[in-house]
Amino acid sequence: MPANKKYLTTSNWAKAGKITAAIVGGFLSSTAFHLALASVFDTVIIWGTAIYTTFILWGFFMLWVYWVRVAWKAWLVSLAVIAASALVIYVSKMQ
Amino acid sequence: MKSSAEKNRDHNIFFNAHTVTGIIISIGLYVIFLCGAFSLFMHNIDNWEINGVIKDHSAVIDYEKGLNTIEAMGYNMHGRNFFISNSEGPAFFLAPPLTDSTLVKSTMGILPDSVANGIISVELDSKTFQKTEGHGEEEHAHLGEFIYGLHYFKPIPVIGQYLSGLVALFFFFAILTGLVVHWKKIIQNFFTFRIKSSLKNLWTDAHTALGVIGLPFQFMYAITGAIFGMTLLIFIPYQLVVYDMDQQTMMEDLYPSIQVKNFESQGYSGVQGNINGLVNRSVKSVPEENRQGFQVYVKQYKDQNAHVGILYVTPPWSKSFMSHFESVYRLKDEQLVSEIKYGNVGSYSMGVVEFVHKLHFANYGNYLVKLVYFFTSLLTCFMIISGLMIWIKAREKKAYEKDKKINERIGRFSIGACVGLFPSLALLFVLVKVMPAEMTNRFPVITYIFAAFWVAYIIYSMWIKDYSKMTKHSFWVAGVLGILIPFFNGLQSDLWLWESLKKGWIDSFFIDFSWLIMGPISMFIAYFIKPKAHPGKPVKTSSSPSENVSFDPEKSIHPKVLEPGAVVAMNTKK
Repeated sequence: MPANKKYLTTSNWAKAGKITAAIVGGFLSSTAFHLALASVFDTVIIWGTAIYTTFILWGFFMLWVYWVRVAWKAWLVSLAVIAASALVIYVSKMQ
Repeated sequence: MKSSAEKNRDHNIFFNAHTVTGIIISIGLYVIFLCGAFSLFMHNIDNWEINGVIKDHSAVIDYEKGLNTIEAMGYNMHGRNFFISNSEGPAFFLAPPLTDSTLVKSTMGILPDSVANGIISVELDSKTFQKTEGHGEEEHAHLGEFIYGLHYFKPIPVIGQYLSGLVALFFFFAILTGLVVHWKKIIQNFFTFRIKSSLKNLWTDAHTALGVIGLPFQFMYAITGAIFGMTLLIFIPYQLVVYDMDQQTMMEDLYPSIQVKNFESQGYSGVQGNINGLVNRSVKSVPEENRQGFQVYVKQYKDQNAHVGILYVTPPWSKSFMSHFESVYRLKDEQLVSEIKYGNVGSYSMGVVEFVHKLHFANYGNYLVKLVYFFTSLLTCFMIISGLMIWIKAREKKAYEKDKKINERIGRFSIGACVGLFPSLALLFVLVKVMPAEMTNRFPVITYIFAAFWVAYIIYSMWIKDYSKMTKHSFWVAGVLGILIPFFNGLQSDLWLWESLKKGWIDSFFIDFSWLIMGPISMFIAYFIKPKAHPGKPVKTSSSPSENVSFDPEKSIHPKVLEPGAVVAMNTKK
């Protein structure tokens, strides 16, 4: 039995928003999070770990995007993660 | 607490996401897993193609003489980083172009500056040190390499590899959504296999049960595949943000091996150093059962800071999971400067890289591990097919009447492309043995024929429209071609199955023998696929929608009555 259509997103904009949030937003926030970790903790260890955890986190982020009800919320959280990570990286570079 | 409507909503959202990603990646993923399964035996296939034996890569040769020979050819040698692979026959000397302009130039002037500073790629005979012109075209293996390339979409220019990485990532997403959808019934459904009720249920049960069995394997391949496909996506941000564009440090942090390490120039010394002596000393210190072969690296040749590194490769039956260990000596004072001992790893991150490689390429055990990988890959292929079939069967219902044409075309195209790949691969194996050896552009022509056959099979599938027929015929073709493969190999090279076994040419024997088994098995499968017992889809009447509407496989008694009867009828015929 295929999915019941009454629960699915119908607007093409919302669909596109979710897909981009999952792929682009997912990659950017996963990478930004790892970069922030690498600039605070042991760079070499985080760098070696990021090789695989970047993709795992990316995948779970994609799942999460589809769990959230609306696309802009997913984008908002994604941008918040990126901004927070950027701030951490900036501060650690200043020191 | 979530209301049941919300739970319903989540379930449907994830179910839809699972379906859509599944349909999008299905063909790509099938190509990845089937070609990937074959390329586990890539080196065996290459050796089978040229009917060669595995070369001994552990002969110590006169490296100093080799380097002098190359210098006499007129190359600028100071500051070169050499990679030397030595085997019984020819020895390869490779060095990237020089970029540092402060290095001392040789005064020979035989070659123009651009060539003298350019890349060195020389093949010398390891005994006479004459330049060898390389192997003839007919001795050069392509097939294993080609199938390996196909498995990460190398024939698609520029974006192929990234595309395969994306497919791996979406595969991971499909695994996650599949798990979420299936979570509550994961144990109960695992023990349900309704083989006799209806085909639709069979596909569903197969998809979920095989999905659970294959889960660890598939999770591992989704992640490692994404890593190999999209390495650049992680490298670029780290190089930009964390390492301030310093690629060398980044690579050394990740993989601190002589392969990656760089040594600063400390000025010209002109002394060659005791390269032969150090290699000999190192090789003698390693027990023979721990090494299958080794490579020699010379860094900053003829510099004050020149180093020589010896990198060993452990044999597949080695007790150590990690495959390489190495010793690095400074040439000036012959001191051991760094070492990774047998069974150890250089660092945590190096362990990660090694681990990812080992898991993905299955080279931590012998044939048994590879065979387990091979069969689990085939199981994954079947899971992809069953997923497609669930999609197709569900869309034959009345509710989907308005998209019927397009859905049918997608279904036929996808199944046709998937099942058509196996006979196409078998055809590849036949072609490398039957095409005349002296032909120009031999291998490209072979790959075009392969592609043409595959496309033709897809067109054929869309034309015959019947899923079980297209599957049945593909297994017939693959079976017949498969049995012919060892035969053609014997005709071409006189190296018949028993001859290669007697001579100990394991790879030739292994591939011939595998096809000799795979051929009859696929014919056997083809024999048991019954186009008539296909309840979801009446074979010839699909063009008239009125008949389709009244036909519901779940309510119909048709399959239950017909199927056992059909089996009995078949048995009595024999």
